[in-house]
Amino acid sequence: MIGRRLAGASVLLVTLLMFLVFALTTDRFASTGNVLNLAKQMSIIGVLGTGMTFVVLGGGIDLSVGSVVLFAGAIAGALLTEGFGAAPAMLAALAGGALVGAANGLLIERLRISPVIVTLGTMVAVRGLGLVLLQRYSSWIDVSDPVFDALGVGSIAGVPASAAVMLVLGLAGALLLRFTRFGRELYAIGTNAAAARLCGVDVAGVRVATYVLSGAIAAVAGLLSVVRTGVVSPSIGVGLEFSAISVVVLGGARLSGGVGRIERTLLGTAILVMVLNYLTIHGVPGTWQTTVTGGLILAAVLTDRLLRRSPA
Amino acid sequence: MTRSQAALAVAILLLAGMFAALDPDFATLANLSTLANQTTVLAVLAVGSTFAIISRNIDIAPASVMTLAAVVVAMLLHATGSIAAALVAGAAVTLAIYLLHGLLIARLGLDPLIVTLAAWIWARGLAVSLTDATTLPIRSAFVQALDAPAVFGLTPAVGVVVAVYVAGWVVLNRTRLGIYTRALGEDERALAARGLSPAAWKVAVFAAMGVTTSIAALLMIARLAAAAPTAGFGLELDAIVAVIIGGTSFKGGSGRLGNTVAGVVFIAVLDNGLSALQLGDAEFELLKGAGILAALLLDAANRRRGQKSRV
Repeated sequence: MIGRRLAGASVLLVTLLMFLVFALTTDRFASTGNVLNLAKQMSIIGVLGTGMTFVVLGGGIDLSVGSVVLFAGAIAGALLTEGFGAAPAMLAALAGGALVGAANGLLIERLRISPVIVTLGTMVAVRGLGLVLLQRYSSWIDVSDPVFDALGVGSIAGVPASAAVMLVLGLAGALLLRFTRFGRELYAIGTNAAAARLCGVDVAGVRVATYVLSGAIAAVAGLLSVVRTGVVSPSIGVGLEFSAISVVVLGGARLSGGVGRIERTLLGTAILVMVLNYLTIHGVPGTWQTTVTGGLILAAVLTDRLLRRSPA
Repeated sequence: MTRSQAALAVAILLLAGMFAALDPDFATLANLSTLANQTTVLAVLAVGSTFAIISRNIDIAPASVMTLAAVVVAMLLHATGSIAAALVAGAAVTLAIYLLHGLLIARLGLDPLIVTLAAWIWARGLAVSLTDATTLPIRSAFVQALDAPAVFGLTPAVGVVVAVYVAGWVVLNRTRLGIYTRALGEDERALAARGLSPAAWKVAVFAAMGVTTSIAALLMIARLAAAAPTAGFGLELDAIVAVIIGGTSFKGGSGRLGNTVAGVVFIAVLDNGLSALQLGDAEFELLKGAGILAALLLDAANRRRGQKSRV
């Protein structure tokens, strides 16, 4: 029990400790500029991690989110280029993401195919769909729209807009999990789906909802990616599904379901981004960062496992 | 032949017929041997994935580990000049990583998806870091010979694939390791009940997967005559999809290498046929994804029908 508590609180402790150590050993690390930079870098992965947390809590996984980032970006970029306003472009992107999520959820729950397999299939197919759409615009869309531009440079009370989107979304998600029936049922399903079903929980329905949420939230990340770079290019979103799973795992969630919190996923995101930022400041070449990311995930699950194992 | 297998066979024939109609060069002996030569690495990786999935594990790391092994081989060849030493070192690195995975998963009970996801990331990252993202040439007569067309345009590498499948079949169906691979997927407690250690046998299954991954690395080196840190990207997913399309259940406990052969042929025909149509990357990915999804749906639909008729 103590081990378990420790495992829960340790994510926060590790995050704080890391920040402290990095700040003390590096001049620029704790500067306002760098902290804001960290917040910006967190936004896309943090948003994807938020969506992924819902799916993982239900015992599923969604490998298609990186492709949804491209798909949603391509939809928004195409509509903006065709002269539609920012609002319809964003709504269409969100709808596109939700649709992919619904397809994932229905294939998994109605046809009972493993989530890894279904979302692997949609990962390839949806990326193709996004690329085909993008090809109609010579595979490259420069986005110039007042709303998108404003979101790119704007800030709310000093917080960069993209980071604010992540925080608001994360807060909304955390409240949804804690104070609604949906949230309670989701934890119940992840802990013991058979028992939840016996208690009258619509297991399939709740799980489908998590995929729809994940798809729609991945579309938000797609929009953030367009906002941040001002372009839609064929390579956006590649590999982001694994970053999203990584931060969920760094946040202490179990892929078997039932354990995990959005707050901790965001802390996991902070850990990942801080480590990479620290390495960059200290001149470690970018290519080594991938190796470190993989090692970090392994270290996180190992620590979690050893803490739970400790006699308590 | 079950309904699923028959459906897959029909799907492969339809797909091949369609490509043959669209492209007169598809159904030639030259193209079919090219298809076989192109598919060697995927085919061997799929044997490892079959063992993983039957034992109710998943391995998404093999392509990354294989790429890292190839980089190790290239670097050692440049350093020592001995291809034998380099290949042994590459195989040793691969086996060590798989043994580590087996221990983490079997002894500590870590989730195989997370452990192999971490390696998917770090092994690929290491391959890129060690090479500075450049391709290292591997010049060796032995390696070149593996990829030189010999009989009917087929390379000795295809012979290696056949040998791996025969060996894999024997292990899966005629040895204790094979029996326990299925038992692990069915219910680990069955092993424990017979006084055997599930953890030890799980590590053994991972060691077997390490062997197939080392062989895949050798074949990739032969194919490219180089170690390219970005080569093999996505092959781990193709390998898993091939196993599942072949009809092996993700739930573990059952599955056959024959099914995997059919799944690999499906992916190979799809890849080769789509490439020959000279589509853009976009259409290629879209159609490939659609083809994979269609095959999965077909399989799932058949399985459901099978379940209903049993009730």
